Amino acid sequence: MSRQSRKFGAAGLMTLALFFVLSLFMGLHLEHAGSVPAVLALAALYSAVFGGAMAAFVHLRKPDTGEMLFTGAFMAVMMLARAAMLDFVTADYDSFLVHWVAAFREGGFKMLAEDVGDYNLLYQYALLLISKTPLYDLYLIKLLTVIFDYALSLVMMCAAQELANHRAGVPVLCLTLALPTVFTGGALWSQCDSVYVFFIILSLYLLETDRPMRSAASLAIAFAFKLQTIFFFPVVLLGLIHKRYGFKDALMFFAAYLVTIVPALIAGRTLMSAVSVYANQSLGQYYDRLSYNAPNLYLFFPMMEFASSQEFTWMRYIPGIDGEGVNPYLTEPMMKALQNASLYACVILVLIAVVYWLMHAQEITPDMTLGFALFFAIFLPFVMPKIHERYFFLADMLSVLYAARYKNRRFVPVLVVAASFMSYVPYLMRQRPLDERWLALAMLLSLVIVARDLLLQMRENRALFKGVQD
Amino acid sequence: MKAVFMLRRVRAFFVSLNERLGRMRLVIGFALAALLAVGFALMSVYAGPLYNLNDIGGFDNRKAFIALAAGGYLALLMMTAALSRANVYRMALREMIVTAGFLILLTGINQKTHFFIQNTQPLLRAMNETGLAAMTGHTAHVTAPMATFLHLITRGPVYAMYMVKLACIVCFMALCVMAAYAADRGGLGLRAEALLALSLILPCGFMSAACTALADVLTVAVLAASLLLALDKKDCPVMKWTAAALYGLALCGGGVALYALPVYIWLVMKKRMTLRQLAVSLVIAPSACLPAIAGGVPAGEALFSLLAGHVALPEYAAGAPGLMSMIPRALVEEMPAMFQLKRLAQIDTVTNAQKFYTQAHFEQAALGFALLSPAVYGGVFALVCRREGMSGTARAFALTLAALIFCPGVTNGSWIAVGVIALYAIMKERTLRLPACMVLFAISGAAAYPMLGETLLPDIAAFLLCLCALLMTLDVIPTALSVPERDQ
Repeated sequence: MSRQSRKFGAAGLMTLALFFVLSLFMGLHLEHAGSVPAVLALAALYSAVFGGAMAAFVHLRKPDTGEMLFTGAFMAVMMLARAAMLDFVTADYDSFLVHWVAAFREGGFKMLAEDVGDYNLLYQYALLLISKTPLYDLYLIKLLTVIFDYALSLVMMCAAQELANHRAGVPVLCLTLALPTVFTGGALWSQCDSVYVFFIILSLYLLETDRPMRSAASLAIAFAFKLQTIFFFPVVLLGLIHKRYGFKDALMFFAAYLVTIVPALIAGRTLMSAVSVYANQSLGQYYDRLSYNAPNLYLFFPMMEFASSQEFTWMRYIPGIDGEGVNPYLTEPMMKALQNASLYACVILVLIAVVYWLMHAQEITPDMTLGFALFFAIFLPFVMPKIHERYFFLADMLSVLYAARYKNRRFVPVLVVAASFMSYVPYLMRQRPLDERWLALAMLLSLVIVARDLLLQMRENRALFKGVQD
Repeated sequence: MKAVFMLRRVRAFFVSLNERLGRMRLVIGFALAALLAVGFALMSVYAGPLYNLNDIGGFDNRKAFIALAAGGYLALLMMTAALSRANVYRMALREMIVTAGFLILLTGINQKTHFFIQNTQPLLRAMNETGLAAMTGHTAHVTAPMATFLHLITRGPVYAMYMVKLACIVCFMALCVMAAYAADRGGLGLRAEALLALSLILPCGFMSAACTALADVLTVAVLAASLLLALDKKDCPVMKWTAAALYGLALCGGGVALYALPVYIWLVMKKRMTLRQLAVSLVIAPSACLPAIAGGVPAGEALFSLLAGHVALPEYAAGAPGLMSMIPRALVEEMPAMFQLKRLAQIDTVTNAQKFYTQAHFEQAALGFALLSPAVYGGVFALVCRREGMSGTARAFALTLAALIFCPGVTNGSWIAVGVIALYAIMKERTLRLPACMVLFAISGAAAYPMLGETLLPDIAAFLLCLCALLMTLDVIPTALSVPERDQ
């Protein structure tokens, strides 16, 4: 038996041990676990995620015994911690997800022809699958994200090994799994940010390892999952300018995207409807404020509803305080005007940034791709109005890679992730223990630092090019 | 000429006196200790902090308590003398500092505090009525051996609060004396006395040990003694066995002791302790549950309390600046920094309660984070072990801080240890001064919560300060901005 096979065997044993622990824990702890077979099935599903992740880890990393035991134990405890939070029900689940799953349960495959919720089709396929399973749907919705939490941590490990050094792999893997935004985003909130970000980081990794076609396909899947993939598009633009992406890769992007809508077309949905989900998503629906807890520029602007303000957390307990707010001047038309004005301002800011980078595209070497990606992952949600707190998730991941690459920039993810995670608290826990305006400033600080680093490197490159020309 | 001759004679006299005193250092130290203890006992009859004990219940009880306090004080002074590596004058100075510290700490002995009244007292009263079985299902989250110990020391006629406070004060002061001993070993010279004095007047020490009597103080003192012996490079089996036994006792107390386990495993791997010694220390805690089991506590619950003491999240722990401070409580007025809300009569938390963040939500999130914490601590431990060129002080500071940040069940009582190590770090290493000061500020601000149920420094801010200090110690947060440097 080879050493590698023994490690796979050990990973199998660890999975089995976790299965027993999870079975016991879920049976005793989870409110909706159901009958014994249901508990065992649920434990088996979550253990399988761990087992798959361990097998992938052994395959990708080829660790020594100590590293494997440490990582295995870490991953197992993380799974247990996630299992402890599976009962947490958020307003998102109660108001949307449960109804969408119910719609698929009743209508089945044909419901793909309809507009069920405002998520894109890939997520709807996942909900369709979940609706056909006898287990409690919340646990399975969270399972989808947990799968990608582990996949994301593995791809982050690979990316760190590629972008920084081999030594950085395991710390980045562990950090990603334990990062509060990853930890709470899925198992607590049942959101799917780790899914599309997994595909973006995979795309970045494939680009860095000179596999542009696969990178484009991966990016297409990310885009098919979430519109927020656009935060990564400036990197694509840079890749096109530097000829790292070609025409074939662009075709692959569109082809992969079209493949994702095929099941919906089979179910009877029109092509126009299938490709216009994001257009519907972007048009309207929210008109009460400029920022939805996102630690960005617009937290410093007034909000229409008093309930969204920093102070309402405790004032809501006083009878007579109206959460809807009564400012006679801050009306819906005024808020629409503010949103439009901020949208124009955002477009101008983005144009200035993009034009500036395009003008200096030659000074941005492929080596700077990560910094460039991080800049836009922070900059775009920072200047866009109507942004939600979770939209900094990509920035969280890229900042971890940035820290792995530059040893004196390890504080950048501290700023980004702390601001990002603390902005989850008002929605998840209905309180604002820290004034969110501080979080926006922390995010701004990280943006300034990354921009400064990029500009310094560009200046160095400019001097270098000038020296070569002279 | 005559003056020079006289000066030489005086100098020679003092040199010979010093030598003679040095040879009798321990005897002098013990004699001075006895003298001070007797003086303290006599003074306490007529004046001082033990003169007016509100709830003592008669002069006989007061006499007994004064005798106990004098006994504890004598033990502390003898410990100071025995552990002092300085000359006889400095040893005497230390005994004076300990005396001053003891008198200062005793000034809080009469104060009834939030934690004691809400948590410890109900448990002690219930145990007085029905014995150890009363700890079953009690919300105080103490381990079975700790409950047994508290029950044992409060059996006498003296009011339980005085007894628990005295135990906590003595343990806290022992911790400070051990810090001075460590400073001697670290070659800090006269700064050892300064460290002793500053440790004794730490605000968190006064609030958590002298006023609130948090049982975690007992645990950290025993743990510190164990670590001091275990980390000693002398290959003395008696010392190592004592360290193992003390670690076993620390595990009985709950709190942060479990988080020191990786250190002992590391010591075993480095062959500075044997596996048998570690095994014995791990057996002590379950064995110490036997009295509780005999007293009627179900075996499973008694054994589980050893673990629950480490990971449970009692309400009073909310004031500690750990990771758990990130999770807001379901009822906003329970947040330590929002204490003013309790005073507003108009507040109606029932009618206006949140639907999507109830107590159940809080508990689910808290359990998830409680399980996450040991894994993250393991990561920090691995990082500290792997880092080259990190000093012993920085390692000790980082690991202690990390353990307390990531251990969900600790109270402010355990944070005293970080306070003492922070003071040591300030004196020993220039690079640790800023993070250590940040930690001292954070824990001093947070320490008021178990005492008053209120704190002016929001616990999330205290936590962020401590986290930043940890990251600064680990070099994640730099102290100056520079050009990005590629990690090769």
